[in-house]
Amino acid sequence: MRQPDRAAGKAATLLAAALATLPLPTGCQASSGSRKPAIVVLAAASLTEVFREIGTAYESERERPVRLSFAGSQTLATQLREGVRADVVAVADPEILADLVERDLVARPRQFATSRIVWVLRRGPAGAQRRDPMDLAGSDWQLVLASPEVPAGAYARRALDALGLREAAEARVVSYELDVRGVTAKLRLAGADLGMVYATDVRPDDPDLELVELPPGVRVLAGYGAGLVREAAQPDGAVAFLDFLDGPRARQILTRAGFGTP
Amino acid sequence: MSLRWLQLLGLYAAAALGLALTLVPLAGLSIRAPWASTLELLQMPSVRSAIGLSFAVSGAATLLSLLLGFPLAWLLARVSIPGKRWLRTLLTLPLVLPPVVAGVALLAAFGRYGLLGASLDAVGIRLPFTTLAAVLAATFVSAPLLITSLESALLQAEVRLEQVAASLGASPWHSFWTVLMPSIRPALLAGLALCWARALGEFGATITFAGNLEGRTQTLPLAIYQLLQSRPEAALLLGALLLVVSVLVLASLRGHRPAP
Repeated sequence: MRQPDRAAGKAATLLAAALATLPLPTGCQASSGSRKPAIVVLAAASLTEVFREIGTAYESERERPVRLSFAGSQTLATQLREGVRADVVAVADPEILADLVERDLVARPRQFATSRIVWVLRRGPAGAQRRDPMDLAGSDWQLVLASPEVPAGAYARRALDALGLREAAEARVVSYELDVRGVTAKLRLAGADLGMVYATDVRPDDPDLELVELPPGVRVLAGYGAGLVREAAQPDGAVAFLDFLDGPRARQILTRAGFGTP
Repeated sequence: MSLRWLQLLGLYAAAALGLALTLVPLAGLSIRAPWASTLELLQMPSVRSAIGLSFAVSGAATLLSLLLGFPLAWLLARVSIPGKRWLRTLLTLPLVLPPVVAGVALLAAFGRYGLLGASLDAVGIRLPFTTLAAVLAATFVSAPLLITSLESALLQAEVRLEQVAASLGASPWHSFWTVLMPSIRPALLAGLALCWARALGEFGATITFAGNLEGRTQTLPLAIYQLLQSRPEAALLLGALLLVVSVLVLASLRGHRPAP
């Protein structure tokens, strides 16, 4: 029997974790006295933590507020096609960015980071032998993948093809998530066993989840691209933010979070 | 210009704004939806399965709401129990919870690591990612609508008539069907319609608690959201079709609404 206060604490943790995955626009603190209008940045869900950090760094360095809105890359593309007001967009798939450029919605595209696809699994009880994701075919695990329409899902599909596990995997999928953070949320909250995410989606010291690299020889890289929104209300601020993203300070933050940088 | 005239003008203006707020988005959806591709859309396997699943899930949720909600509404309306006001408030809370939070609450209760998760696991039941989870999510958010509407109908129905029927020798069952039922029928139907409509449109709690898998938990709203990623026009059309179905159902119940 569980103790009620522990259970309540658990529920609160679950709630906090779920709220953290909600795609809400989050405003970083504007530095006091600053009257400059905020730069609105749309960013892929997998960039959530690292862009919060980059946003804060930019704000303190340039004294200009940054407002961040996170969602799956495809959702961001839809938002831009529907004319959402934004200045900068950063997505997890070069093809989505190229498409936005082709539609004349985004200019000055550049790749600023990469990440790689890995397995993610729930940590077992202490001392238990770690499960090997490659045993998937003979297991009864509940697998969660990102939906093939979103970059993480397309990359995962590519990885499963390379591993020869696609059929076994698809038979065990219990949910296709609409952004990559949905995958970690389902493992954390709903008790799914295994998923595929970017290596940068889970911190090495995460208490619930651990990452397992794909076998050597199977390497699926995601390219993160950013660009200037054509209809930007703050084009100068947007360009400055993009330059900052390519600069040493942002690179340092990205590298520390496990991203590859060009 | 008389004051009264101005007041009336203000009233009409506010009403027109209210109407516009409802109708303009619906009109936008109807105009942008590529109606010509309806047949093609309805032939997509994922769409067909989402439609079938949505009707099954919302139907089951409505039925479950009735089975569990009627006794609760009866208790609230007819039985004198302490703390009734609090009970009533508690029962309507799911209406104000953001659906995603409702989904997390369900996970915290019935998930693998939830309050009852270990007990359920012990008897071999794992709810998340099942169709039953989708039904429970829809029931959780929509049952309060039925309970509220049934409770007020039971409050308004004259208990005296039932007492008379009983004194004339009618069995409780007979009196229920011939005396009570006709008087609460309009409210019951209206409550069922609202409950069903809410269950049909349910998204947040479902995707959080039940996940998103074609044929098992991918109901229409989830299918629409997923289509929005790859084929926005198809998503709009599917949304518009959902709208048409809802209009038909709600309109067919209009005749049964209680008079204001």
